[in-house]
Amino acid sequence: MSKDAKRQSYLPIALNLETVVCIAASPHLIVCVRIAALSKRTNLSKDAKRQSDFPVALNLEPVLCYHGFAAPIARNDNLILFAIIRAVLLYFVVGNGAGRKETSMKAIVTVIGKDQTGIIARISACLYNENVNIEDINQTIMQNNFTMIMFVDLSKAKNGIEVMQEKLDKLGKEIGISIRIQNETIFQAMHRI
Amino acid sequence: MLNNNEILETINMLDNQNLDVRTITMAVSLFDCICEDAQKTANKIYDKLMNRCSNIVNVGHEISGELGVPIVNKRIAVSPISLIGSASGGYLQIAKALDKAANEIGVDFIGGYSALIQKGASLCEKKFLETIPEALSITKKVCSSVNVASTKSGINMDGVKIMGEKIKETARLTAENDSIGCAKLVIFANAVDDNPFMAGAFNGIGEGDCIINVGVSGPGVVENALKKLRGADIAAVAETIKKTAFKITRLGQLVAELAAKRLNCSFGIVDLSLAPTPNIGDSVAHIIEEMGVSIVGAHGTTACLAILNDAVKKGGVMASSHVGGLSGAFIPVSEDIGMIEAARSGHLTIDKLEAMTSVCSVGLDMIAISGDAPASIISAIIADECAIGVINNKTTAVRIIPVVGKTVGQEANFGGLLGTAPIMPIRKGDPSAFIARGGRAPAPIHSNRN
Repeated sequence: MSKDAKRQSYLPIALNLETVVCIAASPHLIVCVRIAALSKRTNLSKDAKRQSDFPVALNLEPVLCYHGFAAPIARNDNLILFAIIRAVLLYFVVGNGAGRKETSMKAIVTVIGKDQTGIIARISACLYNENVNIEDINQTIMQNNFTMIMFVDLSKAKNGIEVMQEKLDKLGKEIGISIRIQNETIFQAMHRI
Repeated sequence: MLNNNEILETINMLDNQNLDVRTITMAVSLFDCICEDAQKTANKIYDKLMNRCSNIVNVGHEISGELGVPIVNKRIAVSPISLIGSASGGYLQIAKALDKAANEIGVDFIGGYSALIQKGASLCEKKFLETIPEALSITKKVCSSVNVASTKSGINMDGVKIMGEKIKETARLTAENDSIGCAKLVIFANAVDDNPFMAGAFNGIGEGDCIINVGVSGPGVVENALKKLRGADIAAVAETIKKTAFKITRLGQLVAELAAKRLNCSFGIVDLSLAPTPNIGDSVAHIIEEMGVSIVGAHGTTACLAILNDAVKKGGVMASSHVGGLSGAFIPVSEDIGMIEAARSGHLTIDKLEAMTSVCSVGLDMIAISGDAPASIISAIIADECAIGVINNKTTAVRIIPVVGKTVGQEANFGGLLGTAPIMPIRKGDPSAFIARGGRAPAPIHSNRN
C-alpha cells in the first residue's frame, strides 16, 4: 500500500450480497473475499448524492467465480449480464450505505452587482440547464445595486458544486456581476447556536 | 431560516476578509514504530505515515471545494521523536524519513522532532538535542520543538543553556537561507499536546493514535467587525469580538468534523487562535490598531491584546465541542504585516513583545535578531519567557532567529507564510554568568495544588 500514496488507507474486507449470490449459485463452496479499494471522488459529478469515498470495486470475485462456476450467470459469454447484476448489487449494498451525507445538498447562490436587464433570466437558465432546482429567491435593488440570494437544491444536479461555481463564475463575468454558490451547511454552522 | 444579512456577511468574510481555515493537522502516534534498528524504525515511520496520512491533501481540497472555504495548509504532527528514536538512536534517519513522507504526501510541514525535558533530559534526549541543528538543515519540512519548563516542574536551566547554543548552531548551518532553520525550532514552557500550528506541533503522549486538529484564522474578519464600532465603549468591542470569534470557530468545527470522518481519524480540537499572515487584511496588529492604539507596540497595546485574547476565547469556546491547542492571539513578528511595519519603525520592541506574551497565547515568535548575538543572551531571552509561562501557568514560547551576517537595520526574508522579519535590537547587558550556572529552577509555590 505504501507505494501508492494516493489510495485511501481504509480497506474493507467484506462478505456481501454478491458473495452470497455467488456461493448460492456455485456448486463449489468458494468463499469470495472482496477487497475493495476506496477511491476518491473521480467521476461522481453525475451523481451529486454520492459520498466521496464511493468504492470502486477491484476484486477477486469474478476471477474466482469464473473458474469455479457451473452456474449460467457466471459463464464468460454471460459476462455482461454478470456485470450488470454486480453493479446493481453494488449500488444497493454499498452505494447508499456508504453515502454519509455530511454536507447538505442545498446551496445558496448569491448575486451582487449593477442592475441590468436579464440577470434573473440568465442565471435561472444556467441553473435549469444544470438541472438545479430553485427553491426560494430573495431579491432587492439598493441604490442601483442588484442583490439576489437563491436557495437551490443540487440533489439532482448534473454536476457537483465546484463545477457549478465555475459555470456561474463564467456567467458572472459575461454579465459583469459577481455570482457565488456556497454550500448551505456553512451558513447554518456560523449563524445558529 | 437564514436571513439575507447573515448570508451576505458570510460571503463577505470569505471573499474579502481573508476568512479561512489555516490548517488541518493530522496528529499521528508513532509509538508502534519503535525498533532497535534505526533504519527499520525509519522505514516503519515512513510506511505508517504514507498509510494513514496520504489522503490528507486530497480530503483538504475536497472539503475546501464543497464548502467554498480555503483550507490553507495541511500538516502532520507526530509523537516526540526524542522518544521514538531513543531505542535505536537513529534520530537523523528518522528526520529524513519524516521529510520524505511529508514531501510525498504533499503537506507543507511535519512537526514533532521534539523533546520534553522540563525536569531533566535523559541520555538519549541529550543526544537528540545535539542532532536538532543538523536535522533542521538537512530537511525542508521537519519542524522541531523542545519543552524546557513547566509550571509543575520549574525551569530546566541546563536545557535553556543547551537550546541557546543549539539555536546558534542551527542558524549557522542554515546561514545561506537567512538562518531559516531557526524558524522551524520552538522552545516552549508548558507546551501543549495538541497544537495544530507549526513549528510547535507534536502529537502529545496520551493524545491517541490518529487525530485531526484544526486551526482557523480570521484576524481580518475581527478587524472588519470592529470598523463599525469606532467610538463605542470597550464592552461593546469585546462583545463584537466574542460574536465574531464564535462564527470563525464554528467554521473550524465544521471542517474538523468533516475531515475527521473522511480521513478515518478522531476529531481532536479546534484551536481558536487568530493566526495572521503577511497578507494585507490578515493582521492581528491591525486589530489592536483598530481598537484604538495608533501603532502596535505603543502604550496600551498589552491591554488591548488582553481584551482581544479573552474575547476570542469566550466566543470560540461556545462554538466548538473541543477547544485546545494554543487558543489565543498570535503575535509572530514576521508573519503579520502590522507587526513587521511596527518593528521596522522601532515602535515595537522585544521588551513590549515580552509584556504582550504575558496576556496572549504564544510568545516571542518569529523574531529576527542580529547574527552575532551570543548564545547566552538567547538563553536568557528563553529563560525570561519561561518564567512568564511558569509563574502565570500558561504556554509561552520562543522562536528566535539570530540571522547570520545581518544586523539591526537589515531584514531577513523567509518567504511564504514565514514572511519577512526586520532585525530587532536586543539589550546590551551580559547574562552569561546567570546562564552558566545551569541547574533546575524550582517550580513555583502555586503549582502545589493538591
